[in-house]
Amino acid sequence: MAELTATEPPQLSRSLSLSGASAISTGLAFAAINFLGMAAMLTYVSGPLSWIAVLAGGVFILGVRALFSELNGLYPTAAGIRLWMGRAMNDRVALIITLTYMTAIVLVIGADAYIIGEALAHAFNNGHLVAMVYVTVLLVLATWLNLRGIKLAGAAEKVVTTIVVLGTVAIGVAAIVNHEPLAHPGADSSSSPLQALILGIFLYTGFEWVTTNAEEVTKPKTIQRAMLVAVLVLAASQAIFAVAMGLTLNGEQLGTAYPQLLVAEAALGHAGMLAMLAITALTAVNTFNGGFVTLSRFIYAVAREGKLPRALTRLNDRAVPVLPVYLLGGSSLILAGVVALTGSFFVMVSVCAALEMMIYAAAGYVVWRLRRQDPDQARPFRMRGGAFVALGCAGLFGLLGILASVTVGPDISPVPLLIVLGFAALATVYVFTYVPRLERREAEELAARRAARAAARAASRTGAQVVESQEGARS
Amino acid sequence: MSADVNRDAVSTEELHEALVEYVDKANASPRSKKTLASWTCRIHIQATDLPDAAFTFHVIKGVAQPMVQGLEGVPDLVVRGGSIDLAEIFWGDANPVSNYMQGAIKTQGRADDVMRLDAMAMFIFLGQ
Repeated sequence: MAELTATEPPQLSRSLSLSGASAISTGLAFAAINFLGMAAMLTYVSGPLSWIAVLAGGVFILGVRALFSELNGLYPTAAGIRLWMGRAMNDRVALIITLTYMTAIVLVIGADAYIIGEALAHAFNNGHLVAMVYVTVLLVLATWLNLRGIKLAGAAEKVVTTIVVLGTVAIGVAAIVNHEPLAHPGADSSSSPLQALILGIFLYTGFEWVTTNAEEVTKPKTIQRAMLVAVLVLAASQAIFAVAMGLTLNGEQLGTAYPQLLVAEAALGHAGMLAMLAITALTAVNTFNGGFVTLSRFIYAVAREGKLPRALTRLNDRAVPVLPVYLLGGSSLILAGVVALTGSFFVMVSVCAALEMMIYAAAGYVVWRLRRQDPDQARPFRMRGGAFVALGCAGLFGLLGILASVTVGPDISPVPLLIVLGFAALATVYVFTYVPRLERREAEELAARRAARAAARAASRTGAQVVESQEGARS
Repeated sequence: MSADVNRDAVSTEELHEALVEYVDKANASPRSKKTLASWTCRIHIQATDLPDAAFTFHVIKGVAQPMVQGLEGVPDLVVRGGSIDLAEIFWGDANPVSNYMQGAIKTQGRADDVMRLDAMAMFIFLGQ
């Protein structure tokens, strides 16, 4: 294949602005599960100091931003993750990591649906069973909207993200100003700065998914700047709300699936709680919009590449990949059901955190490997500190990922690790047994099409020669 | 075996011919016209190894317009790649998504438009 040379970015009729990209990055990170992340964090660090954990997490995330900026500069494409991992490691390993990572998005969608269902049930004094009805309705609605090809446009996305951020900050400030001393604060049983840091990092995860919009910008620096804006916005808003939560809720309240509602209720009464309910629902709009659209299209692309079954490429009359959307809706519903039955929402937080740390570790490794493999390649953005800082990031996030996978709230538990290993094992078996068959079929079909075209061209050339010779004979 | 295998490049004329054939096939595919009926997109196609190989492919409500040589108007989508990679895609000899995932072709524009362009190729060559 020919190597592409760098060319000037073109003008496009519709392109993504810095504010639009920042809204996408912030919106993807600011999920309802973040409120549970804050609650889990507050079991390790006392409320008034929780902002330190959030900001420390932000500092580490700036390192992640540098890694993704360098990779996005090298491969500014929606297929970035497949591309840069494929360049730096064995394609099979890259595919296993990608497929395992994709489960994190399903987890976030399922968890968000569950959290909103529980929040609605709390707000309207319903039981857990009705909460599951809300979850089902939400996911059916999200699936239906996706199948109809309806999604949030750029301007609406900005409005939704702005309301979520400003609303969270306003309620957080009100809670800090109005709080009363707590009899049983959350972090009285255990104190672990490292665990608090992991959860601090978790509050930003997903911000890097904006790199899949790299082809929609006309200025290459827009994505890296958008990620910086998102990190700053997330740091400020979540630090305020984490402090508010720590000052307002006791240990028992932190263990609920809707701690944010309790913060708002304590600060502003029933009206505040309803406002927070609306904000929580809006975070899901971003999660469902970004998660469903991004992941279903990604599944479609991997299937079109010939690495997933072809049935996943079937489009409906609105050019929406039908099966991936159904699969996402169905698996999110099953997941939300399992969480509702087991009450294991903090396990979800740990699994998501572990998967995200894993991908950050992989990004660090890839930056290091590509710097060694091709040191002279033009890099629009270079991570400061050189290749060894990237390798250090890989090691650090790898360790944090392992730690995240063996803790649930304040307890040590192997469950998140077993779930992650289960996903990875399934992906490995699939990649080594089924993918080779798909690849063989794809190669055979392409060869058959090539042969058919060559035969058709040969026939048309022969026909032309016959006509020419007949005309020559006549003249 | 195709004569195109192991070639590094095609000429501008060959690429143009491939694109013209592609337009005909797109308009002959009922599935493409039905599914992409609401899709309007101006696409600039540029070969990175042939300075004069630049084309404008305009789809209006799912109907592919005649291929224009040169770049006309402000595009919704830009597709760039080596001439042989582009030609193989439009001939149906290569999987466009494989080429895209391997970085052999690059796009600029909305992901929805990229997906619809790929869907068009899928309807034409895989008959889905």
